[in-house]
Amino acid sequence: MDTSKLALLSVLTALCLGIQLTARPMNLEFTSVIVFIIGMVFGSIAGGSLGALVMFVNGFLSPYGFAGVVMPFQIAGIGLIGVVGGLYGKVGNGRLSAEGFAEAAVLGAFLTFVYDVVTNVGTAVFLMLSGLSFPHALAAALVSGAVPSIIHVVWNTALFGFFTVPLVNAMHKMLGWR
Amino acid sequence: MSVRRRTFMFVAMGLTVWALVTTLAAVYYYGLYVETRATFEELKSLAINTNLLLDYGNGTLNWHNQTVIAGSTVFEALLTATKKVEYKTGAYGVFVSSINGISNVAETPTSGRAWLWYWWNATSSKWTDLIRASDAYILKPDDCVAWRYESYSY
Repeated sequence: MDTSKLALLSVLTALCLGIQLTARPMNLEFTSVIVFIIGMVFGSIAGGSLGALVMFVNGFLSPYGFAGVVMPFQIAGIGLIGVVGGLYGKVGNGRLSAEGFAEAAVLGAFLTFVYDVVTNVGTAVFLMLSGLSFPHALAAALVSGAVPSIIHVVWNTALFGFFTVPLVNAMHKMLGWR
Repeated sequence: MSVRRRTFMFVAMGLTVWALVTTLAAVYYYGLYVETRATFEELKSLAINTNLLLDYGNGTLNWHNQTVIAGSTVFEALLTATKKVEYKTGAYGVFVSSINGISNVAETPTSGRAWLWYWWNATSSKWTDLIRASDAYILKPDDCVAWRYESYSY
């Protein structure tokens, strides 16, 4: 990995971690979009690993407290976003066009929804430890998480839609790939 | 992947997310509806209908057909009908001295005009003085009570 690539990756990692650990309204996060963009620019392994790392650190140092049993699900969910970013980077190449913006927005919505379902499964596991059966625990987690999930999906649809294509293009230029 | 197929895939993905999110929202709001409905039914059993008459003694009659919490007294029903009530609490209970700015008046040491309350006896079809303080009678469903501003002497 050359120096400019390493520097950019380090800055983005620091940015991602810094924002993730900053106190902010629940579910209004930038980690997904940054991890997705890193996946697109640096590949699935970099995106997935960075996402997993950020959520691992977040699990211990989050302003909301220790994530506990939900942490592995958060790691899996964000890791998946990084991996999909890498795959999309191969086929999508971040084209600066109306389609590119729309595709990123749709992917953002879809991946956020998947992430929320995965973390809700984690919450259900936590509820199961309190004595609920899995179907009840999952229903409770999904229903109680419905409104935060909708806010999360809308937020990430906008973030992915507006920022993915320009940022990916800017990074490609910075790294001399265009 | 052809452009058409790719567009179709993303449109399908967007519609799937939209369908799932709206389903989730519908389930959430249905849950809220069920919970609110149960609370409403529970509260309904705690409420009773009563009729309260304010008779100002000059021909002005004001009816208040209202819902009060089960277990409310005549005095509490009066406070539900109007907030402009002055009263004193003594050994025998609450004594109302003014309603809506009309105050009790002692014309002589043994006579005057005052607010007194009556209960409608449906069996005898008469307003009945239960001879007790208004905070000592607990209303029953569909009770009718009247507050009258009238002359007294003893």
